[in-house]
Amino acid sequence: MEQLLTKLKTIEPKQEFKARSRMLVLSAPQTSLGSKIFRQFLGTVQFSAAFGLAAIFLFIMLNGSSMLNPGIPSAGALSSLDPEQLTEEANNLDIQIRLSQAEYYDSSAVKIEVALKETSDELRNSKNREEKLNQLLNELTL
Amino acid sequence: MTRDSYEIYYPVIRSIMLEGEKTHIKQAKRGSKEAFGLLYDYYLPKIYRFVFLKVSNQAETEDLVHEVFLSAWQNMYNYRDEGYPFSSWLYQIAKNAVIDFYRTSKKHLQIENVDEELVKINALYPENLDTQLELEKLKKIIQLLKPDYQDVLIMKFVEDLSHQEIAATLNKSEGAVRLIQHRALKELKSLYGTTTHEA
Repeated sequence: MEQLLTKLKTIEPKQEFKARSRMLVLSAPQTSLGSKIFRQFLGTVQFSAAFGLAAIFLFIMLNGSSMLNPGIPSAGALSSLDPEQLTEEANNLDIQIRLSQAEYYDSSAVKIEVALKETSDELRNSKNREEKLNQLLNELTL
Repeated sequence: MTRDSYEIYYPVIRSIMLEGEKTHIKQAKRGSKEAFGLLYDYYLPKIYRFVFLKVSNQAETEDLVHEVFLSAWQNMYNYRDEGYPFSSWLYQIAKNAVIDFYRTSKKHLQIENVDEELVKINALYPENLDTQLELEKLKKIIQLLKPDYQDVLIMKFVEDLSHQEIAATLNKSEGAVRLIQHRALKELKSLYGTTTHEA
């Protein structure tokens, strides 16, 4: 049996295949360790980017923006709103805005007065400073 | 050369060859196409036979062998000389290629699928019809053995690798290789006898 097995040594590839395969193998670029690491890194980056984008997309889909900024209503909340109730709220809102404006003018008038006074005092002081500076310069030059 | 003198001189010849081979490997790792070309010329028949005896179709064998050498050329930087011949590394690539081939193609070997090979073996023994038929039958039976049995029988009797080299290639101990060889031969003889009686 062993002798019969050794006869299988006579199996040889075809010359045509040998020449063609040899040429193709040797014409292929040889990869280096650096390029392999770079390719692996690129693959990781691609995967991370895809994963990140998918996560962002899911976050938006699941009303994540409304969780971060309560000012933005979520799609779920918008669909659950009653239009009649909304109209009523909008009507009441106008009055509330006017009231808040009046309150604002009332409180801001005092603040503006104080601010103006402070500004005028500063201006006066700066005039005095300028006069003093001119005086000193005159003394020095004359 | 008789079998005895072959066994005496083979290790010496082999060590001289390995020294030259190391130089070629170093050059090939640096990108020398000429050096890899020499390694290709030397190992192509061996890898071809190894793959050919494990897959039935010649076209598939050629594709797989091409893949093996392309992979070896492109990944030369991965090869580390750990005292074993370059062939161990190539056989490992070839072994994995054959495993992948069967895994992806979902093919299962059956004795009737092996007939295409007859042409090639016939061409090698045109003068002796008995030998042709015997080899054809042997090839079919080898393909029915377990992958480990096939590997050991091909490496030991067709490629004349030492037990140490086979052990390194298959990642097994020398003792395990000897045991597999014994069992593989026993099973091969048994299957060969069975098919002869059936015929």
